Parts: sequence; structure tokens; C-alpha cells
Amino acid sequence: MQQGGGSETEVTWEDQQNINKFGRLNNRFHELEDEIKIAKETNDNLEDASNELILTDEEVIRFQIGEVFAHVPKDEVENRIEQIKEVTSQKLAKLEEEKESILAQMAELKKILYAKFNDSINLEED
Amino acid sequence: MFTFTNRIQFMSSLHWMMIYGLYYIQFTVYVIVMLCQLPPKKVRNTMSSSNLRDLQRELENKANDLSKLQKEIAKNHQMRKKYTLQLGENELVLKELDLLKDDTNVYKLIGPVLVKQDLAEANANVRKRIEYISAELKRLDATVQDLEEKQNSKKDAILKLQQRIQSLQAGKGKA
Repeated sequence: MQQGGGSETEVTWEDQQNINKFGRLNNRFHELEDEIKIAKETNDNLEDASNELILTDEEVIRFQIGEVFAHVPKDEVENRIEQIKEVTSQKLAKLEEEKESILAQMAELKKILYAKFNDSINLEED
Repeated sequence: MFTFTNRIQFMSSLHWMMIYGLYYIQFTVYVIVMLCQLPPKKVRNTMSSSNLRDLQRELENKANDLSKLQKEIAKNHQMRKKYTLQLGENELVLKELDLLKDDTNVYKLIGPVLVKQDLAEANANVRKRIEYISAELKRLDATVQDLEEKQNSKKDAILKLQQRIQSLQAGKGKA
């Protein structure tokens, strides 16, 4: 963040808390973006896997459990994939919700801080 | 008493003195006129300081542009590194696939499931991926080269600006 060339304004304890909170929210926002990206990729992979299962004619599938591949019947694999997809979708929805909440809080803090410091503070990213 | 020749010498020296005198007067008048045309010292100082401020602002902008370019270059280098690793992996896979017999079982990992795949199809996929990655690497190399040229020209411009600012400050110091 670069500093503006505005006039000197007294920074109160409350202002400092708001600035710190904005920083924490911004960090969490970036973490969430990464987590959302991973969750979306996982969802896409699961979707591809279930499509491949429809096309395959094998009855026993090599399914990854932790570090190993176990021979699991096709029906069970389909069920497991559906379960994992459901969990991932719920997680993704939660993450998106949290992201929206964080963006709203950041917008509110921006409003407060810019109202007081004008161009003496820069809360935009490069 | 002067001799004739001496008188001529005297007259000619007098003549040259008059000419030089006229030139000197003309030059003095010219200098005075020039000085009158200059703004007062205070105004001149403010002019040079505003000039300096403009140059410093320009320098700041150029420095910001340079840092943006450097970030872009770093990002491209990171991507290049990633693609190089992928290319190495894919070439290794291709070598392994070339060693296999036609009736060998090949599996592809999709999510948590190992799915059987045709050897020829796997081969074609890996080759396509290698082609794509190689093309991307070429493109990235060209981009990085272009960015580095821009970076060098920016550095030169910044250096020249700094020299101008230093010379201005030195002039100001003397004044």
C-alpha cells in the first residue's frame, strides 16, 4: 500500500483498530479466494470422474483412499463420489458466503476510513 | 615631437581603441538588456523549484511503472518455471509410454478414480499437451524479452531524469 500526500490527520485508537481489522479481513479474503479455487477444481474433478464412470464398462474400480487405491465396486464408487460432491458443494457455498460477508465489511470500513483520512490513506490494491 | 610614422601609429591605436570601446559599450548594453529581460531572482527560484517538483513527480511515476514491469516479469518467470516443470514431467511420461506394448493397461487418474484408457489415446493426449506447453513457453519467452527491453529503457530514462534533477539541485545550490 502506498501512502497518499494528504494533510496530517490524528489517528485515534479506534482508527488504528479499524485499519488493523481491514488488514485482517483483506488477508482472509485472499485465503478464501485460494480455498474457493481449490474447491471448484475438486468439484470439477469429481464431475469428470462421475462422467467417466458412466462411460466405463468395468465393474470393479480402483478408488483412491488416502495414499492407496482400493478395488471398489462401481455402484459404491458412484455413491461415494456423490457424497464427496455434496460435501464439497456445501463447503464451496459456505466459502462464497463468507467471502461476500468479508467484502461487505471491507466496504463499510473503507467508507469510514476514507471519510476521515481522504487521500492520506490508500486501501486499494495494486 | 612625434615623427610621422609615430603619429600614424598613435592615430591607428586611437582608432582601434575607439572601435573596441564601441564594441565594449554595445556588449555592456546587450548584457544589461538581457538581465532586464530575466525575471526577478525570487521568481527564478520558484520557477526552478517548480521545475524540480515536476521532475521529481515524473521520476516517481517512472519508478512506479518500473516496479509494475518488474512484478510482471517476476510473474512471467514464475509461470515459465511452472510450465518447464510440466514439460519435463510430460516428456518423462511420453518416454514411459513409448516403452509399453500395445496391449498394456493404462490408467488415468480423474479425481479419486483410476480410469482405464487406451494407450494410443494416452499417447496422443501427452503429445498434444507437450505441444501446447512448448508453444506457451515460446510465447512466455517472447513476452519476458519484450518486458525486459521495456525495463531497460525505463531504467535509462530514470537514470537520465535523476541526472537532470541532480544538475538542477546543484545549480540551485550555487544560486
